[in-house]
Amino acid sequence: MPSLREATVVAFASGKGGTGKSFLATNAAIALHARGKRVALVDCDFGLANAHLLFGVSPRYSLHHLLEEGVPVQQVLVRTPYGPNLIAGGSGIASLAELDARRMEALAKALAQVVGSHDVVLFDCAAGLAPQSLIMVLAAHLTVVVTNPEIAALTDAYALIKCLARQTVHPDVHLVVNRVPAPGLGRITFDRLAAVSRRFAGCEIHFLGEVPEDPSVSQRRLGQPPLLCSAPECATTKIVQSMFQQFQRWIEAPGASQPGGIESRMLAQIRRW
Amino acid sequence: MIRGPVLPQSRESLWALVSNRLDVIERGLSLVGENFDCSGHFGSIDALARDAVGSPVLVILATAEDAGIAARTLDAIDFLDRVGAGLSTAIPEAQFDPGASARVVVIAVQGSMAGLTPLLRREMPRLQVCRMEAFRMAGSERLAVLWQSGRPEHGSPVGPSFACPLAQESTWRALHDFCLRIDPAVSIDGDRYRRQIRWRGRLLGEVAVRDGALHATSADGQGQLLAAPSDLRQISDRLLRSFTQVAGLALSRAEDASATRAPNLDDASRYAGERSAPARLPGDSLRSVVAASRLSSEEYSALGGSTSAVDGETEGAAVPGDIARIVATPESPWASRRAD
Repeated sequence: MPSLREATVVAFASGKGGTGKSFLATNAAIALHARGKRVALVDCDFGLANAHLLFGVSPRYSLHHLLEEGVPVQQVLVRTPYGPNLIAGGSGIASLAELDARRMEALAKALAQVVGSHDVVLFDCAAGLAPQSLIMVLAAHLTVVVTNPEIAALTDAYALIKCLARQTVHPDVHLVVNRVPAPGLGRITFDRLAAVSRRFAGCEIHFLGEVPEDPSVSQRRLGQPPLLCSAPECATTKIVQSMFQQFQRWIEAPGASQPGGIESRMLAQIRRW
Repeated sequence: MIRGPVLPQSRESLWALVSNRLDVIERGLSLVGENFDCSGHFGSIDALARDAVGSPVLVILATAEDAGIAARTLDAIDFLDRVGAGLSTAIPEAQFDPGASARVVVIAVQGSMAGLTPLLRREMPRLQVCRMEAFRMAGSERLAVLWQSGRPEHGSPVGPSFACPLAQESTWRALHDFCLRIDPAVSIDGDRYRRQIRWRGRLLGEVAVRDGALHATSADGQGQLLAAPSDLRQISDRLLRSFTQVAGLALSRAEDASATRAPNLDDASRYAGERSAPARLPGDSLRSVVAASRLSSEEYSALGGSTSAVDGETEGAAVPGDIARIVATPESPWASRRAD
């Protein structure tokens, strides 16, 4: 029976690609599922999806089938071997990379059903500031911005935060600094970004944590289980688990309880296209 | 009847007059301590103060006899460049905002402006200079404060000046002063061609310079050209309405106090409830939002990038300075994690 309470929607976003957003989103889904949450991950990297690769699944249907062929969302949603459910994006399908307003509205309708049957829905958004990505981020309750401690990633992360800060109402922004070569560097990176965000964009951001640069993560082979499952004693695993254990407090704060909340939020953003 | 001038002749008396009326020099400016020794070579600074938004302010009184006023001012600026960011932790009782930028305010009197001219020509972002003239009216002393450079705008006292068209300077000043009177927590910040008016980080409206004219928009989505006095009245009214909406004036005192804390879990539920009616600036399509997210050279520099590379790629370049030192530390514990 679907819950009357809409799931807490968390968008994983970054200004720059390759920061480790999908890695964190998939492992966050596993960590939250392990703590008893009903979790769904929606791969919103339209056209360049990879969450299904990280979960090691080959779903029959993806967002392409949902949007182009009208396959019901219940059939597109698949259970991964590690617990969370997944709506796979499409890979190499050009049309998905430039979804128009009509298709985004159809996606909004489909997601309204997903949020009614889960506790947490994670959006693994595409990197950058494409309107399709911004719509997903602005429709979320919380945003996890993933960056690396290098100037290119920082500036792109700040550009995203600046976009969000221009809205009268925007999701709370939580920052993760990934691929940190030395402890404490992530905190320093956050302090700098937080100061700039506060001063120039008038936006307060929260520090979610820093994740070390770990060859066991970057050299993972295709088909290997996610890190939290394959290497539970690994230091990086413990850091990620601890991070999302802390984050759970934010997730459990009461969200919008009216049905169709995600749909109306997305439609409001689609109208601003 | 108006008479003047009535300023005391001795430095001590003059300082006593000024130190008791810092709020006249700048609204919300309050004294933290006097005779601030910043280890300079040219004497101590007259006072350390705190402005309305929690920024540290070094106050220097410049009299006609101050031969070394320029050097003393440069000493103060140099001190803030070195330790300004640490004043909030060094002087916790002053309750400085950790993220605020410190500045120097020089209060000049008749005959002391000449010594400050070299500094005024340099347009130093941390420096603000005003000239004070006293007069008596109907038996009571009044202080007229005339800003010579960088009149303080709360929220961004250190930053580029607003490129307001000359013909609309008075309009901008009137709107600016009106906004600051709405509430002490109103701040006005932005870059050279745009100023955002915020209350505790929440956007109330925006004023931008476009095509040589001032354009104002409020958070309820209405925008207009600021040309006539009636335009000013209309935008002021809408800004006030925006304030009443975002401030939630029906809130109790306790709830209002909670809004000034750093965001916490209790705020999350309130935030979720506010999602039902998002407001936006007019013409603020998603694409225009993205276009406006381009970083200014000030922002890029603040993030640690070279301003000469603001338009270029710096792929892989680490944030410099203190971060580089940590990376270079031998025996990093991170190395032991890699071995796991």
